[in-house]
Amino acid sequence: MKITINGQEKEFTSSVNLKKVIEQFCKDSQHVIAEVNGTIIKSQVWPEKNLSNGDTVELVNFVGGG
Amino acid sequence: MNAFEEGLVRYLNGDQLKKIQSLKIGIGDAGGLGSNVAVILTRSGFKHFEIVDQDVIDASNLNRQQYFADEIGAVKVETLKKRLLQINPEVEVLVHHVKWTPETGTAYFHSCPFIIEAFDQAQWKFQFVQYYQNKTKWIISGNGMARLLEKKPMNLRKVGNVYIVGDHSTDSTQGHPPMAPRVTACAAMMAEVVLDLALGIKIN
Repeated sequence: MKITINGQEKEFTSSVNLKKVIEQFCKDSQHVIAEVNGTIIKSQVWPEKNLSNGDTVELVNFVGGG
Repeated sequence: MNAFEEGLVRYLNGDQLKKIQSLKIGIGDAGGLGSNVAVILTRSGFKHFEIVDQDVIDASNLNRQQYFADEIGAVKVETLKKRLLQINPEVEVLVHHVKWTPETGTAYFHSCPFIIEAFDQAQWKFQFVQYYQNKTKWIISGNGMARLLEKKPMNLRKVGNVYIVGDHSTDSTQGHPPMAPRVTACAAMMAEVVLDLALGIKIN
């Protein structure tokens, strides 16, 4: 299964949900905003959001500064 | 049309100015990002703002924020309102000298098609964006603009209806100082997104 994460294609051997992807690709998942195929997915529903082949995921981890 | 606007119409046509002046901008926090975005957007012709910030001006703010040494101790939102009125005497600025929280979020930014996330701590940035992302048309956020050494380029990312400017990794709480060049550059890029969206200019 291929999923594009922040513009880079990644291969997954088994089914995966958004929470697992965020844990894998973000150092700290506490302040992450996530989009799947153009729609923002709130953190409360990450575990239920199963990803499919061809999905596009954008992840931004907020950091301090302003 | 006042003197400021007479000057501005040398660069914008009447329809563009009318469009810009019809839009209200909400700003969460009036620090390095918020004060600079507000000044730049006022200079660009926007004249309706709503700004929420709990702070008074501290000496450590003067390195990057739109405040002066003789304003130390003054309320930021009141001082920023004065600054915007110095640019355009007809600007309308609604200010709230309070701490923004998700519990009180519903009290602010009604009829704002643009909301600026300008907080300095990651948890507030996240909470603010998450709270308003389905309550407004566009959110413009700053994320990662504090660094002196081994700087990373800042870029623009889009997540849903949220445009996020910065290097997305440099955290000011991890020993990276927020200095005027990069904070101001980030604020200017955020303001440019607002101007482009307001005028229907395609964002790359």
